[in-house]
Amino acid sequence: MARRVFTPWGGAVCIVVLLSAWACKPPPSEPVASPAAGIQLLDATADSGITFVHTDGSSGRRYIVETVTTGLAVFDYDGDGWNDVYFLNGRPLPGAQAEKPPRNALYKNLGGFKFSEVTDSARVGDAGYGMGVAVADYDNDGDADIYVSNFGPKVLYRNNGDGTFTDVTKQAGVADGDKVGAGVVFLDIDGDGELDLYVANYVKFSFETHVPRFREGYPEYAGPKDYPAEPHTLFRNNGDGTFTDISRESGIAEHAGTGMGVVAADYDNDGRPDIFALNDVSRNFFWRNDGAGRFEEVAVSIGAAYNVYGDSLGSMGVDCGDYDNDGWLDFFQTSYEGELPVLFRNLGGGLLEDVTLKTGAGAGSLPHVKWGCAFADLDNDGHKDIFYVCGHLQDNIELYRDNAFYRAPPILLRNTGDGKFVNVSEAAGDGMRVKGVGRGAAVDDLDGDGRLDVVILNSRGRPTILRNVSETGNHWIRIRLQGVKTNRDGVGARVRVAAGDLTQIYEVHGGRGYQSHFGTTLHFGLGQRDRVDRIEVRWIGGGTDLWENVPVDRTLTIIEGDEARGRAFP
Amino acid sequence: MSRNKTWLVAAGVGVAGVVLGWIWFSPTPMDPDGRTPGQPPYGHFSAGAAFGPRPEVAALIAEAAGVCDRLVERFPHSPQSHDVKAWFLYRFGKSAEAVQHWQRCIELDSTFSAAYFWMGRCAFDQEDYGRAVDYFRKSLAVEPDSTIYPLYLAHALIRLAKFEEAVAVLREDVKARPNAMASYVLLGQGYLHLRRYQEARENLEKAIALAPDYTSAYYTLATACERLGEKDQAKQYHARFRRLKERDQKEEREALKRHDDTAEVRQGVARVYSMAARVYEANGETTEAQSHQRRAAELDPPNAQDLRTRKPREGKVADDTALPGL
Repeated sequence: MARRVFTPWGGAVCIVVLLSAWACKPPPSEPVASPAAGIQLLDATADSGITFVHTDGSSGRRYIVETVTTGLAVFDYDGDGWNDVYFLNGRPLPGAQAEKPPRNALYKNLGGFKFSEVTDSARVGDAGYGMGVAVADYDNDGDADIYVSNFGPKVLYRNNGDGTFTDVTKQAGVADGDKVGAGVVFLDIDGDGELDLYVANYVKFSFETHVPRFREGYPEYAGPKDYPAEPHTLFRNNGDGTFTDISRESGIAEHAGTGMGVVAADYDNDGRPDIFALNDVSRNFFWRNDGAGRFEEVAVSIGAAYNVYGDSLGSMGVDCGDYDNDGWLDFFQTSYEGELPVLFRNLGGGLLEDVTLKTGAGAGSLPHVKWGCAFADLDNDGHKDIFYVCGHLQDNIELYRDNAFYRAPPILLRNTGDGKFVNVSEAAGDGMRVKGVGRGAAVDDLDGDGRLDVVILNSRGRPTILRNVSETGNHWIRIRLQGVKTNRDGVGARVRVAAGDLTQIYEVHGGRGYQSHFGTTLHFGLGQRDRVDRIEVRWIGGGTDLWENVPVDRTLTIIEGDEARGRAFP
Repeated sequence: MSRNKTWLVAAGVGVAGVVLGWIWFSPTPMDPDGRTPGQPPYGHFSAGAAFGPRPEVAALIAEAAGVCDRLVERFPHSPQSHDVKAWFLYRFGKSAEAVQHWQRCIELDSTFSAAYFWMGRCAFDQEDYGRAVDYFRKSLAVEPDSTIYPLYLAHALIRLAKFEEAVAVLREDVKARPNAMASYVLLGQGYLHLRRYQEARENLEKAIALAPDYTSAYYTLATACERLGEKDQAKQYHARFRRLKERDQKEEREALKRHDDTAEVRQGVARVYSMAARVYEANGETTEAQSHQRRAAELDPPNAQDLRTRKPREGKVADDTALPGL
């Protein structure tokens, strides 16, 4: 009799094994875009290991603070060369109950687009109501510190250098009272090598002064005009771990605003950082720095307060970059639904011009509420593109309007290199079709491949992680500054990169976009140029260093005073 | 157990094993917000107040919807009845349906200029400036004497960065209407975009001569003077702008304090009644017209007289339409 090889039970086992093997098949290999596809951003959220979920602490009472939370930071917290991600979070507001207390969350970058939460071990799980964040080495000890702006007292985390942080808010004196915080930036206002801190504040709000509003009978959030404005704050770094509030003597406290995104930049090339602080439905502030601790508010006279027609906008986020490579830093701000964003071109001579319509920088924007934004060269062609996120603040808008959207995809405007922008959102990969309630956005290289990726914080939900897989074949160089006499992170330093016929400038910022932080390492796309002829670094408050004949497609660390003129690179 | 039954049982065990394995290993389904199904809509927290409208307001809007439905049913071939319904839909957030009824207006009467205009506004709101231009051009072709259509056409052309064309439209308008303040303001904006600062200045100065308190004209005027190198003049205009802007913002805050959503809805519903009354009247149904007018007066007494004395809209847009960007 022939031996039975195949029994019914053996068959059942085979079925289980085969079908299980199919179900557990390995993930698809790394996605590849064709060169003709241009900028391609793919949704990499699901496999990233990031499980953070944002909450605005809402209960249905619709407190105004729920609409404006929050920002995030992308930075290298442990100095291992990989950019990590720090998400801010809300907390339960009156009327809401927490199953599990929410808190900020830090995710360590493991490489390969994988992240692991390290909030507990790092001790940065602030349980306050997060609004904005900035990162910089404020004590010049070689590692990145974090300042969190809250609805409520703010928090300064000092990096201990061993993967942990300590809350030093009280000792530093930077809690800034019990206000509704907004965007924050680190900057060296007087070139003394110590990073100072500008803190925008939103409105004077308390639960007792809450204003309920309705639209067509539906409950809606009140706006900033329902509350008094609040002055912003400027803290000077004393160099000993403490700060002094110099808001009055600096002139900052003379004006009250409804602060949102902030960025610091030397807009007039005088070697001193100025401050562009947006105010929601009110005139923006532009603080010109006299270098001696005083700031003059000049937004109206230089053309930064409003759009070209003098309209106040629902201003949200602002970023800085030289989009036309003319050697002057330009600015881009986002705005409300029914409004265009504004691209401010720097004319030199201290003036800015709204060129939104002329450049096409308003394309795709009108139906959306627009938030976190960035100038970023996403295709490495040497011209900074514009990326920003969208999402309404009225969570029930679609119940009474058929032409407004709570969730919306981000917008990508590609810089054509001749002073214009083209809306390429729909052709830039599946990541650009992910709809969210976007607030903060951060653009930086997360996987070390020389292409800028994106992290979006979505209100009341999971973030969106976009991986840049653009196959343009273009070259790039990334520059990490290390100050010695000047502040350690090089915040405010001006870098000029010349490669063939292309010259670009950039600055290190300690806070930007919508109440967020990213880009401590400066990224320059170079197109097809395969060599950098010159890199000039003008250190704020310090001298100038020069590097020549630098190879491309690498990250270069430039230490103040360590010139490499003529050095042969491998 | 028979052999067939054994195979069946074994197959069942195999399938069950795969299903259990799939359930065990597959990720928890999450909606786009990262919530597990059934989780409250506010992330970690339990929901509180309802999302929905207040009953009294919902009832008013439903009342107006009924007026429109009955009007269209009564006069299905009247463009005015479709215009009333379209306006109601647009006013209360249903612009897509509104466009359908304005489209019907045009099918019934190709000279119904208001329908082209409002479809242009809907297109503008959706950033379809090209289509908006087409509709505004059509409305202007039907009603060349309109004081409103040239402004919207120019505004849409400016959004398309067709500044020369916008300027051409506005120059025609001020030729016909030398006191058209809004057209001078838009001309100033158009010339500013074209960097023709002297012409921008001239037109904006005409605008402020006609309306000395028109805030935004001073901002663009200051910009034009700045570009012409007339810095002192620019400073003066900026100073005037700041004072007017402070006044405007103070008034806005005061208006917000007085804002009454229910009263605004009542005004909107009253207008629907009044527009419907005029259609009934135009068709000889006086009793129905009077009953609609009475209800309009009940809903919005302060404006009752004004609503009553307006003639039925014969495809034309009233001068009080709010203008974007002005």
